[in-house]
Amino acid sequence: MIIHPPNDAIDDELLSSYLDGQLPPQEQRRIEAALAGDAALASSLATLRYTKTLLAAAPRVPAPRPFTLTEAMLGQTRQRRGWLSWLQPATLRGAAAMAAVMLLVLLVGDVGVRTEIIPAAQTAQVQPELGGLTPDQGDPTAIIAKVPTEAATAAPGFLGLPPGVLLALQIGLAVLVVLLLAGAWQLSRAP
Amino acid sequence: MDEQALIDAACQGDLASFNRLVLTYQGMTYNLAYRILGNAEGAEDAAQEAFIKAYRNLNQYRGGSFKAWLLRIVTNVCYDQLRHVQRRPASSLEDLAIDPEHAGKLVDHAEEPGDYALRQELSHVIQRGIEQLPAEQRMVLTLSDVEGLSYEEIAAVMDTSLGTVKSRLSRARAKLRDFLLAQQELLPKRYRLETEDSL
Repeated sequence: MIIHPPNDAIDDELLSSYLDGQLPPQEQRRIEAALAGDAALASSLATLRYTKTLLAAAPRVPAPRPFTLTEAMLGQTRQRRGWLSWLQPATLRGAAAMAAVMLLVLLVGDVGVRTEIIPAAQTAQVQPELGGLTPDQGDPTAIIAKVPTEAATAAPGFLGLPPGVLLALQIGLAVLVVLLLAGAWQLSRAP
Repeated sequence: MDEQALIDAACQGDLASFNRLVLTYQGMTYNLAYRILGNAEGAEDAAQEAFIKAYRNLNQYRGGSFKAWLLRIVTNVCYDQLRHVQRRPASSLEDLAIDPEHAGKLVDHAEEPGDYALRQELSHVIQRGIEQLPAEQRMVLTLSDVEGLSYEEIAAVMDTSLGTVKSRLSRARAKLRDFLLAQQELLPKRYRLETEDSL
């Protein structure tokens, strides 16, 4: 036995598809049966049909002039686009890939340099403090835990660049990748 | 020469063949742009730009319906114009206002002046209703109920699914219906909805 949903499950979307003859036969029969016994539903369909009929009755807007192209018209566009002719989706995607690789190199290199600097900085800070201590005068790990990280953060990073410059480069490259990909998408979206 | 032969010739750089395609489709192109954008000047620019883009990118046409391919370009150009206008809202309302002077150009010489005037009033109210819709719904509604495209063709033109076309179209029709029902007194009597009260 097929259980039909109640008439209130028939919404404008179903009625609109019914109006266009876009429903499967079984669904169409269900709607016809519902329309026969539901005046509100029938009225809703009538107003949708009225809307569609009015749209079809509205006069077409004729072209005000011919849109035929001339060589001069195309020449003007070519001239205007001349210096931008390299601007193709493939070019932008290639540039985005290059920028992404550079960003990756900077990130990996930076992480690598930091992992080398921090232990070295910690050792350099800890050694003098440990100088006057005997093993029973305290826990040396407590001193290590207190070692400030200024030395690590102030030290030159990857390629000898200051950390601030590196960060700015990384952010700049990330933004560039996003912009280039957005540009490529925009150019490829429409012919 | 049939359409495919014209397209092939245009692909080889024959501008005269492409212009025959332009003459075939310019009415549809301009009408669609006008319904979507709501002003004559913008529609004229959009139609011209669409044909230039189509000619320059004919090598990207991969067969199938040339009409659908062209309409896709037109809708994209219109969409870009609408987004451009949205970015500078101070002038957008004036830019998109219905051009009353242009309405005078929509003469069908085969029609009686009285009938023509009534249909002009209808066109004016409908255009106001269309402009209340979001861009995507405006495009689907125009492609379906003004240009008479099938759901499949609209899905191809707008690069979207059939389900999206159905839901956008039903929402657009419902909103336009509500608008038209609220504006009955502005419509010529001939085009008003006959209710039991009015009978």
